Amino acid sequence: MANARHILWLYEELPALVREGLLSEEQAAALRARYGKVESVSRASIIIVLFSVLAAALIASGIILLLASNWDQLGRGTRAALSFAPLAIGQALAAFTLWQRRDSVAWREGSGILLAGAIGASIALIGQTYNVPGDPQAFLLTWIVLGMPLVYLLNATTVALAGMAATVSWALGQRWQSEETAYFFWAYLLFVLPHVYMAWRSDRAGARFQLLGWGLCLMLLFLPVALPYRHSGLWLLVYSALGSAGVLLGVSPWAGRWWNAFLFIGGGGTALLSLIFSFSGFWTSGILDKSELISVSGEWLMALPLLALPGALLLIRRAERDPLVMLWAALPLLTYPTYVLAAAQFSPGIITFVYNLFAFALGVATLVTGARRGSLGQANIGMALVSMLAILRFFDSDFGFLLRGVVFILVGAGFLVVNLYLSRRNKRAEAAA
Amino acid sequence: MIRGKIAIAVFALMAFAQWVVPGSMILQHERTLTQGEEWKFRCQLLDPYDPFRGRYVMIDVSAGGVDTEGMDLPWSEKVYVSLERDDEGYAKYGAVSTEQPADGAYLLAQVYGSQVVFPLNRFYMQEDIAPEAERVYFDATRSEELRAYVTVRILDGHAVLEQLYIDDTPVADYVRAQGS
Repeated sequence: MANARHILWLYEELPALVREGLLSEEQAAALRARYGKVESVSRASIIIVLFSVLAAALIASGIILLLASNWDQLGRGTRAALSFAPLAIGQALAAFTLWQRRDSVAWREGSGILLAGAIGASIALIGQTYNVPGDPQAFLLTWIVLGMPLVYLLNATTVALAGMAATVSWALGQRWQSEETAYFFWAYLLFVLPHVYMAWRSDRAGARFQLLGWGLCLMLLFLPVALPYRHSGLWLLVYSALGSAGVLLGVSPWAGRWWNAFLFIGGGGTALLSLIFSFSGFWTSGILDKSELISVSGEWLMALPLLALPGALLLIRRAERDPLVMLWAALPLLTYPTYVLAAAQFSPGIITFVYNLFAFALGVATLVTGARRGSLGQANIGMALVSMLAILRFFDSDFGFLLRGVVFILVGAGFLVVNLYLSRRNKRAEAAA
Repeated sequence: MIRGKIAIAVFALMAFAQWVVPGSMILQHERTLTQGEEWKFRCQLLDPYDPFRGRYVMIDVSAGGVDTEGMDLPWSEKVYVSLERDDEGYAKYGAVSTEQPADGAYLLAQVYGSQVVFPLNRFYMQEDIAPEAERVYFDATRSEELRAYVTVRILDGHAVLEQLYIDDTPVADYVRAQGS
């Protein structure tokens, strides 16, 4: 499926192609029929959508606050009846949108978020009228579930994003309060994926998919909260697999734009993890309870598809041959075996050496490739990684002040030299062009 | 996006569920309030704030103590606390059990370590009165013995907090009388 931007470009080109005799009128019409109508999104309409969502969210919050003020002059019966009022208004607007304004993104998103807010207002008012004990978990879960159909009914991305945020806060509460596994986190993830896929199919470079990408990545950052508590070491495998998958997805044309959530969070996460794993303290401290490291159980099944994700992505996209990308995606190749080694009480010295080497290689390779390709940003990312590693190691170990001072000066000087070299080179290239 | 007849069906189902959930909450609470047995619990007051549901007075009815010693219950375990009445007619806590008592009134509570948390911890009030109520209560308890209690209706273990009394007066009336 081609993306809407490309189709629009094609349609703009068609008249010229016909004029130049490259295509006949019939062929141009056939092409238009082949690719269909494109919902063109202008800047003005995006602003209208943003304002309608903002207005609906403000009105919904206003209703909640209004009801929260609590009028004790009103009897119980009146207040019970009143708690259905926002619901009725929200549903009426959603129904109107569904049958009269189906093609308007502003109406769909706006009425969706308004009704979603109204559900919360209604449950909250009942809680207040009857002095229902404060159980934010049950309140949130009811709210999310009752609002979920709106995501597909109105194709409302803002409702999907709000649901993600609410699900994360519910899962955190679940872990905090009752130490129960937050299975609903997984349910919501599965529920929202088709919506993400549909947004991707209609326009992968568009705001809708890009926003959902950020939402999805941020939600996945909290995934270990939804893993069973017993496996205190499982998160390290899951995070490294997700980081690797994020990098592979982020550099592929699937991501829509070159600068995207998958690359940013996947790459950032990979860098952060390799730095964390380079501490010997990490492998010896109580963060990893070795007795729990290897205890195969049914809960592993939940994590297994995620652990296999980077491998699956590589299989599907065999074209990926950029060595730098492969290196960034290689972290799971280290974490999977070291997880087992750490469980077998293997020397932490060797494990941390391997991660130091990996982080260093990652930094240097990014720096060198960036320099060769003339990309100042990439070179600086590599440089930052190398210097972070140097700084961490020198706070970590017992080296003298003199040595530490010299190394810091060298790292700083390195930064300057690389930047100077690259900006000179870029200027020269511009002058030559 | 869902279209056509399916959209109508999904919308109808969703709208129905959105009415049924709050509706059944109302029915359940109304049933307990009208048919439930009335109990009085001595309590203490604190004043917090809920961003969604507004001002409430936080209530602690656990004073007098629930004995869970030696039970070694798991974190957040649900327990049944059976109720008795003391000489003055206030509720008093009896036996704690993980199984539902066969007869008599009881409350469902949750155990967090040595703490027993009852589902009677909030009394919602008009926003200008709640902080006043706590202040009045606080001032009064320093000078004299002031009784605060809540009336609770209980039906088959489902408890609904009905009214908060300070010195035998509903709290809102008490605060208004103090202010004037």
